[in-house]
Amino acid sequence: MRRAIRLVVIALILAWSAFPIYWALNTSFTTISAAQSVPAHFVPAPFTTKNYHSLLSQGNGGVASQFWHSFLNSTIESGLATVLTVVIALFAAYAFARLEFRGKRVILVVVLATLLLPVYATLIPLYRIMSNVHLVNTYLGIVLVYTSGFLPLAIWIMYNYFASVPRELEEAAFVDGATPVMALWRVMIPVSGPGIAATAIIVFLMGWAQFIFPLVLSSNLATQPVTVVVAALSGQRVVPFTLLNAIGVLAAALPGVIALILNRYIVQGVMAGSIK
Amino acid sequence: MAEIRYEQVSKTYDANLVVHDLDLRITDGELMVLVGPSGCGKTTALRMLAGLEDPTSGQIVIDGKVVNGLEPRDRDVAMVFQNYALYPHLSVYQNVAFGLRLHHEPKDEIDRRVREAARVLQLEQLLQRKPKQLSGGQRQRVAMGRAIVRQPKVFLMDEPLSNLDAKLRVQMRAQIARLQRDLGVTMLYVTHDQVEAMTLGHRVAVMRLGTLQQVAAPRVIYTRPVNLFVASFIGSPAMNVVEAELRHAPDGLRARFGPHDIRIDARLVSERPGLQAYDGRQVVLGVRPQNVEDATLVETESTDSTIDATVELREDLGPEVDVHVGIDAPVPALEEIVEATQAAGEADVVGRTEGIFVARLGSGSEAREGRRVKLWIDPRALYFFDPQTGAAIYD
Repeated sequence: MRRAIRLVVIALILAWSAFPIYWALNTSFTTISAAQSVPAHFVPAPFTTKNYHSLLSQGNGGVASQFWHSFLNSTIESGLATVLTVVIALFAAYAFARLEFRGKRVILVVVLATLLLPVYATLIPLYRIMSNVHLVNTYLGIVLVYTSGFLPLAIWIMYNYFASVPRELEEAAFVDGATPVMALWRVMIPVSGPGIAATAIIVFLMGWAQFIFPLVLSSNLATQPVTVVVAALSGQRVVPFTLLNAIGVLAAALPGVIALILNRYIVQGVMAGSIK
Repeated sequence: MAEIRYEQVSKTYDANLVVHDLDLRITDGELMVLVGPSGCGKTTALRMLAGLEDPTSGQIVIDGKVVNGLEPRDRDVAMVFQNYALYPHLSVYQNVAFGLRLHHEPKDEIDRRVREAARVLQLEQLLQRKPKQLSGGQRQRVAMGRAIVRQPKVFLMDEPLSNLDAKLRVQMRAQIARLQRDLGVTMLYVTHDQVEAMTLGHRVAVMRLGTLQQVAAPRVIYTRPVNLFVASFIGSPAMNVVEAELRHAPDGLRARFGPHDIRIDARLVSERPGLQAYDGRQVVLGVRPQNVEDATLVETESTDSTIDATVELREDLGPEVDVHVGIDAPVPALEEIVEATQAAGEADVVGRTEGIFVARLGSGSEAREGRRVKLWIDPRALYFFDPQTGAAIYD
């Protein structure tokens, strides 16, 4: 009985989360008229891949090229932000987990406390700063802003992971002849692979989902990510919404696949240190 | 190979003195065991030698060279950790080869030495495995392999056997002793297990509360402990101790505790002239369980060395029998005895107004629980300690 209740609850939650994705898929594989029919069809009828074809064949008055350009922008911005964030977080987290220095505790708490700031509080100041240093509408500007935003969480995840690695592993490396940098490189980082992978995945997914910052920091297609472009296209009311749904499905596909394949790492990495 | 010297080495954490003025010399090729209850500073002493901790004061010398401030990698030491600290992402081969790789040894030289170490430690079949696929004993051998392959001046062992089951521990103990002898390397071995210390050590250094108590060969530690702590800590079951009063009688020096009154062997008295000063005074009397016997199994007419007591517990070990008997005499409430007996994992004897004697009797003993037994205490194997300082009374 309890098992049955649990299954029902899980099914409800799953349906709640998965329905929009299902509906986007359903709509993206059908025609406008079928999509607007009442009552609604729960399977695409008639079934068509026309929307995807038009995205792949560069037709449709530049919608496809806009989409692919923004897709590339998203990939570059999220990818670079991920690399930069992970590298910085690696050293910061190592320092917090292993080195002794004055004010360590305070600095860590302050870094983590920035997670509590609402993003809108930093939006305008960050825009002003980027504008002053002429980094609006550049990849660098967006990557720097992303990195500043993602670092606290990345440091926290990796700090917990590093703290869960027994000290003796590094000490063994020191006695075996390693310098601190060698011990970090040859022992700590390989051992922390799952934690680093989890951090990278989470940061990449967060980057991919960004909307408000790139909306403010980029005013043209040179740097606008897919989230911003999809919103702009839907606002124009000229792009058929079956096509918009196909765009949405493609935009969600990359993070979706990453999450599905690598979710083992995400769970491992985030849970590190919580169970002894 | 190298000689090691600790010279007036102290270590404080915050305000806590963990190691206090340690002076210890380990000669070239010697296997020195540092033993003591947990928190006695033995591991800290070892870690300072490895370079994983800095002494607060004093000097550590390896092979004539002061190593204070030197990084572990510059000390030419190898260490086996209590939890083995194998690199989980590397195979057994790579674990063993790790140190050699860091030192940029040629590839075929690395291969030769890793295979040689694997042969010695019977790891040949396991070289491609990852640590998590190994049993505890195998992991332990890999940790040893990682240490010996580097051919260091000094071997450091931090409780390397404490995570193994009892049977494996005995096997590995023998293997470590053999290995050390064959390699002729200087070894400092830390343990809380006094049996390990006694069986392995060329010499044993006993520590308590950061202070070195005694350094000597195992036999000397056992037969001539310098104080109550060493006496209670070394030996199993632990030495029986009881408050007693010494006094001269016409037939010689006697010790009275509770209703019991035993004569002390005249030769023992002459060997320990220090006892004269305690005539008519309180001492702590110590008797090892092995020096107590069922009086019916001893050919003696005299009642001078026997006590009557009630058996509270009988433990048949096969070749011998341990009995616990109640003794109507107060157990000295000294900190060091509590510490030593707790460390040895034995019953808390303090807090009782009446003491317990443990006696290891011959298997022919008829002693039964709840019955009276007459026990013979070897009058030549008694120990005496000053009740204030705990120091053993010899000279």
